[in-house]
Amino acid sequence: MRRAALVALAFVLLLPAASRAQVSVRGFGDFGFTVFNATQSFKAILGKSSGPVFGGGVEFGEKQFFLSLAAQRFRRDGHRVFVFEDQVFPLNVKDTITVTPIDLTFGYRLRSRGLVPYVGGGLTWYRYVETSEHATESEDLKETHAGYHLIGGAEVPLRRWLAAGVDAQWSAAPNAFGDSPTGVATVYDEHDLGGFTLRARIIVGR
Amino acid sequence: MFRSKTAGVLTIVALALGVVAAQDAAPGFRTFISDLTPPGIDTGLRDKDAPRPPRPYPTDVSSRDGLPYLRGSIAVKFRPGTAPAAQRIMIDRVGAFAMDAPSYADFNIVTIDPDADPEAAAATLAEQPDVEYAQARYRMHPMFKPNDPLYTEQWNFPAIDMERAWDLNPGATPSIVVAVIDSGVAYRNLVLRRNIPSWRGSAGGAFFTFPALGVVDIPFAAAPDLGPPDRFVSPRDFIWNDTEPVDMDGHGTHVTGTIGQLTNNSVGVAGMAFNVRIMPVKVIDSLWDDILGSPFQGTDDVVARGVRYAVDSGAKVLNMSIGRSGPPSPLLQEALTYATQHGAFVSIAAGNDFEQGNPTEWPAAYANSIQGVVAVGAIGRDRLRAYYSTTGSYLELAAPGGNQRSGGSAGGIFQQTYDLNFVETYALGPTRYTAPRFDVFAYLPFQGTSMAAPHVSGLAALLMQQGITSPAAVEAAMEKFATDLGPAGRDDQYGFGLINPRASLRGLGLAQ
Repeated sequence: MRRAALVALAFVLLLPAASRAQVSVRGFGDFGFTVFNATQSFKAILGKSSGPVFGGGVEFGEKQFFLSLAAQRFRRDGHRVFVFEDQVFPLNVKDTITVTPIDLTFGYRLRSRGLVPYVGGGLTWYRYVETSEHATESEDLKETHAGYHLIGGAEVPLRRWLAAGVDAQWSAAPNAFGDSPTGVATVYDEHDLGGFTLRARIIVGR
Repeated sequence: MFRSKTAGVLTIVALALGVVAAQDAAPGFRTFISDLTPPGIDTGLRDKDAPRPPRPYPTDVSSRDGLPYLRGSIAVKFRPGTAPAAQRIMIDRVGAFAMDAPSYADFNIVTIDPDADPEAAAATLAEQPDVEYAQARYRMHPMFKPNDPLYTEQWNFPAIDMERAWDLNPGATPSIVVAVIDSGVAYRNLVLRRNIPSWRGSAGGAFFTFPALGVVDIPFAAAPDLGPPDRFVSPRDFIWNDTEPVDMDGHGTHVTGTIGQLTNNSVGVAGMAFNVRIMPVKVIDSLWDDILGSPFQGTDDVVARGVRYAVDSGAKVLNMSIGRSGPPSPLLQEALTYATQHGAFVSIAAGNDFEQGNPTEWPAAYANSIQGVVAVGAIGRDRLRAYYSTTGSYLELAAPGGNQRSGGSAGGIFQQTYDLNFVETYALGPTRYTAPRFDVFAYLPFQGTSMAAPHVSGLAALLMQQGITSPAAVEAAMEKFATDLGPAGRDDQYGFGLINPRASLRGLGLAQ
């Protein structure tokens, strides 16, 4: 993870020098919908394996290449469960899952005017927090996991300083969970915290 | 003259008793003359009593002849579709006189020659092609050891982290019904008018003849720390064949206390699932039941009927702190299967005979072949297997049952039950022998796997309330979250380990 951070930092420092072009800085806010890879585990606890995400970030770039740093947040309440022979028994103990992925994305714009498609990929750090009623401090979980992602989308200018876009992102965080004897992810042998996200984005800046 | 006058008075008294005895209902039926009696008397903690002598074993009460089964009858189940004529031909081969179909049973009771060997007759009948099974009517007994009543504290609940478990589920709710398949429960106030005949019993190698007490009014009261009458549902007595399963022993009342003693009421002690409703189902005869002439005894078939009755009457958890050694019992196996198939979880005491050769105990030994039925061993305050607790491949869980050998009186399980000074009135010998009272209560320490099983029943009630509605899943949850004791993994001393109510109730999170 430290190595990945160093690579990203070098990229940020080198990008302006490499391009020698006007480096623009833009901010964006987004909202979307994520389907988690650990489908059965999320469905068991939350009743569904997907949910809305909200976030925002900042983007540095020139005509073709860009680097963005974005954060999103997923939070949902469910119940702790017991699983027996594929039957899920929700227990009357509230369980809250909060997932905050932080994406560092290196991207490439396929066009520079009008409808601008882009593709990219990068690193993701997942902040995972799981708390439940009547839990002790050691029973709640607050962890960070490293992963990666691929992204593709398109944006269209609305005004001089305003643009809108949509994108799709696939991400993975292997071995994020699935080892705890008190985790339903272990029962389902699911270990990946990543997922597939569809997003709409409002971009401010040139 | 004086002598003749005395003889005359005695004759009159005898005649009077004879008249009263004649008024007494036929043997096996009893008359409760009132349910308007004072509330039970609570004598509190009994920490100064001297150790009690063993209970006498009656040698001349007709129903107790020292054999592990009843003479004069066997239980049989024919294959579906077997014609009555064919059934008649088959039972004729064992010299049967009659055949009855009892309620809450899918088997028949066949009456045979009282001098015939029931085991041999059952074996002969079992060989017939249309017979699914046949067995002697083996007697069950409560699974507890005598103890020294010196109260200190209820160590058993902290030992399984119940205080924090109650944070997650404070004692379940009345929607959960737990059946106590036992010697009855002190659940209501009654007065029984009954003739107490003379009887002879042995205790500690000595024989005593206890005099007839004539017709007496025997008071019963509800245990003050078990709750109001509306807490008890569908009571049934299979020993007296009526609907008043009052306890004449104290065992069932103590077991019920561990399951659901009123808690957080500033009185007495606590129970596991203190909001559940209790279904008293009496299937075990006590010494007083026998002395008073109960028509049935706690045999396999009676217990099996009690199990089916409890399930049909809506119980979701069945506690069976009873058992016996000897041969298996197919009819009990079927009754247990029936229970789980109809959504009821069953907790069974594993047995107390480790030092008596550690025999296989029934129905506990069926536990590992039926999901939703659990055999429970006992640990002491030191979290080690209690010296008496039976071991075996069928043992699945351990719970506090007490060990007074290593822990003294404080090592027992304290719950409210009868003050045994008023029940074991024969303990001081024939000269000070009086009629029993079942309306005086105390907090007494018992030990045995009988005391361990209701911890598991209480936890099952909490888990069902929590949302695990399948008996098999309840068992799986208990086993998954049990605290491993002894050798790593499941073993024959502790099964999967000591129950961990909090962890079981908490279940699984997504990642942790």
